[in-house]
Amino acid sequence: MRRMGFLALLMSLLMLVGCAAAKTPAESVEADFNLDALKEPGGEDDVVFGLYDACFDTVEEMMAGDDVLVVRATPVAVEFETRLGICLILDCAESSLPGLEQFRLLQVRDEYELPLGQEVVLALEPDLEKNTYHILGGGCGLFRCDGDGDVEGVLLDSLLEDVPAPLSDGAAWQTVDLATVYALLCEKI
Amino acid sequence: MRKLRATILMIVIIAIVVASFSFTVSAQGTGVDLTYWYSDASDIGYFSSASISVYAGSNSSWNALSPANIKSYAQSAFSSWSFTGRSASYVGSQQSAKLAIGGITSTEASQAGIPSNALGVTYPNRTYVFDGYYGTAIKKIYKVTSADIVLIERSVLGNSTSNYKKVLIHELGHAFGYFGHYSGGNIMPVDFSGITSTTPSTNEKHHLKQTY
Repeated sequence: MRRMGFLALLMSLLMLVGCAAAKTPAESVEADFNLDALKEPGGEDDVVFGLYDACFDTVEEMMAGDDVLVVRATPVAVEFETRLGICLILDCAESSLPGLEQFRLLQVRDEYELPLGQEVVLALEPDLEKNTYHILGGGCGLFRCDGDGDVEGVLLDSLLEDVPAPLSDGAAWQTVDLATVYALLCEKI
Repeated sequence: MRKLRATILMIVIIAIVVASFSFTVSAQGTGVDLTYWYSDASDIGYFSSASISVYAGSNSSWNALSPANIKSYAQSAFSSWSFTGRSASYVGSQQSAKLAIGGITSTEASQAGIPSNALGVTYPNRTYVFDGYYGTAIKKIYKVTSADIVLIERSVLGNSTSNYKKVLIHELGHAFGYFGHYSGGNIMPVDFSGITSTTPSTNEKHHLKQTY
């Protein structure tokens, strides 16, 4: 009788252990997502698309946040990269945040990915880690020069809207350089 | 009699060659003519397989990012883009899936280089096929053979199933070949606040349907 009781207790314990181990499909190991598969950068012709929390119609909207900063900086190194994103190191020529000389920038590897060595003006906000930032609105906060040396940016027209002539006179916008864009953006903070 | 058969066979072969050739020749040159263009990109694609093996997994503890919920978003997303004729068969192995959809934590996203203002990211593995012509503009057409999508834990999405469903419908659009974004659309604007529906607009349908 005592042996029967012991067996019943053992069976109960085994059942409990079995129930605990038998997870639902939603929790099973097989339903994890293995990010290792995405560690290798993609091919040259590949492309990545990111959906951002917000994008902005005007510079005023973009600069309305509390933690926004503006930099004129150059990407100098890749800290790490995966198929989906990249972490760049940038050296600052100018920054609205006193003392910021070098920082990390996280980017989705989409159309706005910055090449090394090309100076840019960026409107940024802090990312999750210390001294790490991201561009506001994906590409909204990015201003860079095209192949002809003209400044381009999604919100360049908005930035120059209130600038007095001759800068506001159509083609004269081409005379705007990145240092001027930086100064104009800093006025919006 | 034998000569007649050979002639008929030759005519049939020539007709087939001419028919297939005319499909890839547009008024502009080798390629296809495109009637619509509702994207800020200059390329478009199509998912090569009609039946797509899909893996839904997650490393997140958020309910909205559980594998079961991700699978239900995928079902909705396939339904939203049903005019492409693509269907899903769900598999238990990420490695063997043509479409892998994963829920990841914000820390994992940072470790993958993804900034904290990105809510979802899609990587379509694509191959250039031929050019398309929209008026005088040349558009590249790609074949997507597989794709990876990540949905990220973000407080702005509030662990909400309806929000993540919208994100996945958007991302599946990219995987199905809707490259770039369309600010006037229901599903394909560049930012989450621009997504107004789970059904593509007429323009979005016109745009992507051209490759299916």
